[in-house]
This record gives sequence, C-alpha cells and structure tokens, in this order.
Amino acid sequence: MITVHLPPDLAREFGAAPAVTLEAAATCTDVLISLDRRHPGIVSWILEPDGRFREHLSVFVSGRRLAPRSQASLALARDAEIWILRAISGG
Amino acid sequence: MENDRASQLTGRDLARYQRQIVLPQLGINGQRRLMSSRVLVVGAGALGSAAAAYLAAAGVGTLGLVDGDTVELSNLHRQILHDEAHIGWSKTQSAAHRLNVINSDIRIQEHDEFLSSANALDLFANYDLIVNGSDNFPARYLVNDAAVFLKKPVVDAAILRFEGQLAVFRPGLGCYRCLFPTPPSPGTVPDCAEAGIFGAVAGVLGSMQAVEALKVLLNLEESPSSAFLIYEALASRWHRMPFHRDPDCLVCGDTPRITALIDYQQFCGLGSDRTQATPAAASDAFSVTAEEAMRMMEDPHLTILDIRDEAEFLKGHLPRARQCSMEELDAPTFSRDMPVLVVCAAGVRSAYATQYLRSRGYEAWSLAGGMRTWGGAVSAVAIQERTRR
Ligand SMILES: [Zn+2]
Repeated sequence: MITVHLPPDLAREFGAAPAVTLEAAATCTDVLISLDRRHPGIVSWILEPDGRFREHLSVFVSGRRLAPRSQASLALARDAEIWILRAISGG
Repeated sequence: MENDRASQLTGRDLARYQRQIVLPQLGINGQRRLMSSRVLVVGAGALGSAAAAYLAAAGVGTLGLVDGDTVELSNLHRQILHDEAHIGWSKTQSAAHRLNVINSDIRIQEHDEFLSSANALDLFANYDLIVNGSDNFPARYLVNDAAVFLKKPVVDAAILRFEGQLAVFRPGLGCYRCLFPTPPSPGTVPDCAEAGIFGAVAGVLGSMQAVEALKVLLNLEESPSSAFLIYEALASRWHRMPFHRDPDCLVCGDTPRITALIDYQQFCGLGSDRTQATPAAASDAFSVTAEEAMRMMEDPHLTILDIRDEAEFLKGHLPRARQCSMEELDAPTFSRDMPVLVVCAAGVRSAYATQYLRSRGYEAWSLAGGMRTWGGAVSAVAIQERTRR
C-alpha cells in the first residue's frame, strides 16, 4: 500500500483524509490518478497539465526530496510514502 | 567579541545560568559564547515571543527584535510576550519590556520597523543568526535571500491552524527557496487571521526555534545535514524530511540568478491582482454574493463594516466602509434599525461577526469570499455593463 500525505487545506477542500492510503502502483502518476478517482479534481491542484508537480509544492517520496517541478512519472516502491508539502506563512 | 561581560562571568552569571552551565555540552565556555552572541528575531509575534523568551533567558548577549506592528487584543491568545497593559504599544517595545524583566543582563535592540528590501541587509549584518518568525510570504523570501547573501544561518518556522513547519538553513546547506522555489498563489494558502491558529502550537514551534538557534550558536548539532520538520498537533506527531541544497536554486544554487534583493510583494503576487484567490468556505445563511452586496450598497442607509485590521483596510476597502475592530462590536455606535454589511479579507471573520451582530438584534450580512472575491466580481459586472451598452 502507498500513503499519500496531502496539504491539510487541500485535503479538507476535497473531503479527503490528510493521509490517504492507496493500492500500490508502478508510478507516482498512477497513484495520483487513483487519488483523483477517489477525490475528483484534487490532482489538478498537485500537478501541472504536463504531469509535473506544481512548483510551489515540495514533494518527498520515500524520504527523498524530488527536484522542483519533477515529472510525477517516477517509479515507486510497493510501500512508498509520498509527502506533498506546501509552505505556510503564519508567525 | 564586543560584549566584554562575556570574557569574565560574574557570580551573578554563574548563579543565573548554573543549571545550563552544568551541562557538559555547554560549560563556562558555552555560556561565554552565548553571552557574546547576537541574534535577530524577525517578527515579535507568536513565534518570536516564544523564541525570544527562551533566548533571553538563556543569556544570548544581544537580542534584536524587528517588527513594525502594534499590540492588539487579538494577538494575546498566542503572542505571550505581550499583555493587556501593552495594547497599542509597538510590538518591539512591548516585547523588549517583557524580555528585560526576564533578563536585565542582556542587551535588547528594538527595530520598530517592518523588514524590507531597503533595511534587511544592514540589519542582518549586525547579527550572527536570524530567527524567522515573520507572518507573510514576502517577508519569508526576503529573510531567506538576505541571509543567503550575507551567509547568516536562519532558524525558520511557520504555523497555521494545528500545523507547524521548521527548518534550519545554514550557509551552503540549502535555503528556503531550495524547498519552496516559489510561493503559493495568493489566497490558496490562508493566513492565521483567516484560518486561525491554535496558540500553543506557536509556543511549540517558537520554543523549538530557540532550541535550534542555541544549538547553532553552541555548535551542538549532531548532524550537519538539513532537514525540514513538520509538526501535526492533532496527530501529536513530528516528521523529519532530510533535504539538500538544490544546485538549481535561484539564490544559493551553483549559478544563482538572484544576486540582490528584489520586490518581494510583487514576487509573491501581492502587488497586483489578488482575485484568483479561492474563497474560504463560509457557508453561512447570512452571507451575500458580491452582486447582492452591490445591490445592498444602493441603499444609502446601509452600514458597511470592514473588520480587517487597519493595515489591511488601508490597502483598499469598499466605498463608505468604516474600519471596525471585533472588540468594537460589543459597544456598537451604528443603528440597529439599518442593515449592516460586514466585510473581511476572505469571508471567515465577517461570518463570525455577522452571527454575533444577529444575536444582538442587527440585520447583518456577511460578504461571502470577502474582499478577495470582491475585486473579481466588480470587474466582471463592469465588463457586463460595458458590453450591454
Ligand atoms: Zn537555495
């Protein structure tokens, strides 16, 4: 199983849990497609139309930080943990 | 360094700091080092309050505070350096007053001004380390860039609702832009005024900033690698995400393309168009759309209350609107016989104020989506009117 940790406000907006568990899949894109099936529209906030992660997001896959604007098509381990983070500004 | 007191600890110093001097990682030399250190806290708000209190107590020799804001009642649930007696004081003055009560042996420098591209480099140059407790994205990118240019370490934190983020950015080991090259579009991540903040979360993160700052000053870090820490208060969990300097980073990368401070309001998309904001979900029975509000405004007897703070109000408001703090709603000076339209930035605060006014017998309405949707709606109507002619 794969866990996707979402930014809390995005999760709330789509009625999703902050951490969503999904069936293992070959690539990160596949996982996000099944996330979008469960919460239609949510992935348009995460990916650009060309399949790259949006630039203001910081994405960690299995503890490794992806370069900004990486393609989401990278291969995943069966138990991968994906963190999709956005900055907050309160102080 | 310049603080000569640090070269020789007095009996009073030994008495005051004995419980940390006995830590083998600190000792007399560590205490001396703290007493000759200079730390700048950006923002004397919620994070700055908690961080500065511990840094002062630990004996950091010179503690600078930069903030141009004044203390308000709505600050007090989380900004623990300020109190009721200091409402209306500048935040730096209020904070300095309290810090001096905690530790009168250190030097507190008040910088009663907002950090800007004009003053940041001069300010930072006088300090060894920056604690970032600013409350908006333009200031966060400004703090980052100025610190990278001057090779100063930054202990950065941010809070929202029940969430906290923290990172230590050391010269050459990655910066805020390595993690977040661009800010989110305006309005897509709410601020604490709209979304709220659980006060004690600021205490957790601010205290953690003090811990990390003291570790940097004392060279106590166990691993030199950078990590981004996330605190989830509702789940009672911390997560640690290691990261590295991004060779393509615009300010700290191999071939930096930003080499001087820029206009950070503009960079964060706040200088011009704010209408792409997502309206907050203020599903309230007494909310009206911008179009309905425009019809209401044809009534000259309508009272329009803008309950944002003065700085937000002055940036732009509805015609005939008057700025009104939440406290003023307890003793209203406007008529109960006339309808009231309540406005804020995104429609969250105004929904609360509307409910409160209704409970007191007013015919109050809240502008859904607040000023963020107002701009877009008004221009849409103007275009319709124009095409109708
Ligand atoms: Zn960088």
